[in-house]
Amino acid sequence: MAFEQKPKEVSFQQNWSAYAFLAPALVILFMSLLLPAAATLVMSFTDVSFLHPTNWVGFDNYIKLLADEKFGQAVANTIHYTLGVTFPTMALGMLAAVALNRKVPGRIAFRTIFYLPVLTSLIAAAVVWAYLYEPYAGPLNNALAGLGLTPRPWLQDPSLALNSLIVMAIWRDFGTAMIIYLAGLQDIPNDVYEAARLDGAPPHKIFFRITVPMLSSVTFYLLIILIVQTFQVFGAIYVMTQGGPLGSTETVVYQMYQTAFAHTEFGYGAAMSTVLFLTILAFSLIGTRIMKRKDG
Amino acid sequence: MTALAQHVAIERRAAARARSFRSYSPAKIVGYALLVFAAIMTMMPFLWMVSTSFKTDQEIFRFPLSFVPDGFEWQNYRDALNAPDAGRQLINSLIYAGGSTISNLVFCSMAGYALARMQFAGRNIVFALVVGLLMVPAQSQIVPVYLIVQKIPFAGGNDWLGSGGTGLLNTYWGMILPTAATPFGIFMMRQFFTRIPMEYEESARLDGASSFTIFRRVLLPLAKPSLAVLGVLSFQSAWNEFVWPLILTSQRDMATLQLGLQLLQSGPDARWNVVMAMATLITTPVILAYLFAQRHVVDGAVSSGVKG
Amino acid sequence: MARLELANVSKSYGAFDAIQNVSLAIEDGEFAVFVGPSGCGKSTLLRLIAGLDPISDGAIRIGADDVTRRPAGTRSVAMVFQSYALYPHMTVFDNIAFPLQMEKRAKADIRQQVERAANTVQLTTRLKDRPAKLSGGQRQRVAIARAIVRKPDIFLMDEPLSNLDAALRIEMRSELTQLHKTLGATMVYVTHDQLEAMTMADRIVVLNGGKVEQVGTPMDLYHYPANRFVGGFIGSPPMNMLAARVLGNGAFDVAGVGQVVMPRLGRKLAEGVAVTLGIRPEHLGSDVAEGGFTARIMPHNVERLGAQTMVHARIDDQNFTCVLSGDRPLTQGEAITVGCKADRIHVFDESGLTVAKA
Repeated sequence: MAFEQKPKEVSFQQNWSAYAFLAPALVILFMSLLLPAAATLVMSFTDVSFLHPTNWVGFDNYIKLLADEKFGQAVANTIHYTLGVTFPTMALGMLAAVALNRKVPGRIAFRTIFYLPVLTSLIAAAVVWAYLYEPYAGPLNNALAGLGLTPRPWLQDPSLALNSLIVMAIWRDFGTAMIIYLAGLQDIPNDVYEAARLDGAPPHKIFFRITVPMLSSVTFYLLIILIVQTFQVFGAIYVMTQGGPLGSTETVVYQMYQTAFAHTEFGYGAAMSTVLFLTILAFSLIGTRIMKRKDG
Repeated sequence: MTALAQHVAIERRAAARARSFRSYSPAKIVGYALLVFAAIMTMMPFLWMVSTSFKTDQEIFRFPLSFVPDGFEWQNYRDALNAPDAGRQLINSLIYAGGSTISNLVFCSMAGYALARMQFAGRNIVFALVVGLLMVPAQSQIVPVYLIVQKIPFAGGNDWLGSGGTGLLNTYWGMILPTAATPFGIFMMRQFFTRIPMEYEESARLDGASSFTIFRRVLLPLAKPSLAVLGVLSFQSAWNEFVWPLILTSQRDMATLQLGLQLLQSGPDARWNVVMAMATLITTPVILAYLFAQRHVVDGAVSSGVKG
Repeated sequence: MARLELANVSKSYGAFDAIQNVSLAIEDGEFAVFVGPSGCGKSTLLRLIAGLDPISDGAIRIGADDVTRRPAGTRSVAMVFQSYALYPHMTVFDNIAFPLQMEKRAKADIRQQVERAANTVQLTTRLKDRPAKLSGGQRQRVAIARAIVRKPDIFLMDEPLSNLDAALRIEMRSELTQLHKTLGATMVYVTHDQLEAMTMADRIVVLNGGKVEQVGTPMDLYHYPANRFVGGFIGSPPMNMLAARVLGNGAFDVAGVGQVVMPRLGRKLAEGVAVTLGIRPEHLGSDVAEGGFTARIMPHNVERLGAQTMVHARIDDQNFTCVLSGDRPLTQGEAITVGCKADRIHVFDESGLTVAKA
């Protein structure tokens, strides 16, 4: 039997139904992430505001930013906050993970407890901590007074406020670090530990010579996501200090919010946003690299 | 965000090969004591939250402050619920979190399925875009997202160019839309669908099922465990969200519970016991959802239909 | 029911040619088995027939319809997968009913059809169970029921028995043969197991490296393998292969054996040409015939099975197996002489093709 036609590469592509499946999600991603990222960049070269017609201002916003002492302080505060949160969070997370990676009584209960702060909404956490830090009736100062120590104005003293926020952030974040470290610990084969124990290595040596080095890629990855996350701190400051006292807790995102929504200087806010965005993107790219190398 | 999924996996693996805690050396006892201390410290803010929420107005200002309340002052909870707009805020929060969760489940699973299983031109580009967008920090986008929501054409008195009105500001649509689908959700569902054996789908295709039928009748039921994880995570993040509702709503009657709590606390006549009652009420659902997910999300239903 | 025809079908994945120019026709009602080593393209060919993968070149025709361009689901073929692909979240009933629901049949009709199909595979009592509760054999039956309920033109089966244990496999083998007789359906069955192919097929298609090596009835392939590959692949234990050279006097010089009388061949082989001689183990006997193949072998392993005795030896450093009928009290290390008639010898030329007998 002869066939009339000899088709070349028949394909069963599902283009249209695939696009239909993707369309809603892609429209949302476009509107909520892609377009805003592009818009931020464009707006940062304008003086867009509700108060007057929009003009192109070139790099004026960025030049202003360089000279803006308030912004400089916000950057310094953000870096202080980020460093202050990131390292203790990772250290506590690693300790908790190592402790709970073995069959301790109540292992799951401990793990759930350490993870509860992560689940708590930022505002609820901020409100509770604002109460703990309350200078007159707060439990913390009450306890200090009870012990005969001097109560301190935790959130009202410019030299203490940012560090007080840092303590709360560590409380809230170390559960995340613990979970990620636990995942990393599960990837270390048991026989490595057994070999080390047979060689007579004491526990602290095993920890520093085996566990810590073998977790290094997890540590780097965690470092990056914590930096990215803490860089964007906003809610806690909005609720607890409003950037004060004396601008000592003013951070980049908080100032960006103020600039855009309190002073309606959207163009200037967009320039801040672009700087923040590029900084975070750089860290994210490094993080992705590390993650790929780890998986690879 | 992946922490819950990881947590579940860890739970399973650790149970299988956790090392035992046989001998009770002094070092181990000290270590365990430290662990207990850390757990108590971690719980402290929660404990104070709950204890304060049951105290009377006088008890709060007593010196020295007692940790255990004298009794259960349920009036605080009644006051929290009777706070101006509290009911309204609860409804708003439920609509916002529910809408965000449902739309994430629908849109992310659809997109994830297309990316995992369908053959179409531009597939790699779309996937690369999704992975790329994973890295865009949402908080840095508050200004443009506000303007975009404000400038949605034909909404809230806007003309076709999106000017003149308030767009979708102060509407549920406007609040839900920016988080209605996330790169994370799409990525997660795509990873899940990639792992489901191809034969289910091929078998259904041979039986003449359309792409949508395959998706709805075969793959979506198989995806229940992943959908549960995505649902819990979406609900948690929307329920706890503060920044988007803050920016995208300005009218009191559109505020969510998180905004309400903030307003309650920052008000001039704020009472700590009522604020703590409200905080307890807001925190509980998410913790319950997490505990529920932790126990029920683990489900090996997928493997049972393939091979003996 | 319909005839299936493949014309010059090719499939490439990039530079890799998985199927190369395959042409064959499977008659209406025929049980055809695709057999070959793993990676030979047999499953790929099945997927092309099903429409699960697009073909690169050629045409596929089912009955009078050219289905080359039609996607899966429009071809009236049903497939039983190696993994069964039963939907774990549906009951047995819903699994079997699924294809009918896709055709939007009436509920009562579906119920009747499903019950009939379940009855055919003896599963009527398990209709309300989920697949996870069934045994391997029962899952297999559900998969078959799901295929037959559609009444397709062609049944495709991709190694359907490979996940079953040996005893169940033998049972299912005869059940499938019985089912084929009952339905009178055209079936295409893929397996790597030549025993399954031999016992079930009306016709066997031997595939190797994406090409058809030979098509024929099991006995055709057994007695008249077209080439060295088919000779070695069909039959168990496999055919003994011996390197040989054509001598001037009408005999072969077989490495490790010596001179062997040449069978009467259809064409003359030039002196000095290298050939391969193939002798099936079961054709060898200890009652050595005149003017045939004779070899003195040193068994390194003797398996006495009662009905037959398997003798394993080496000739020219190649495995050489004899299956002698009856129980022979042989021991290893004790040399014996085995042989067969000249016309039992298969001769493959340098390119591996069979040199036909006269």
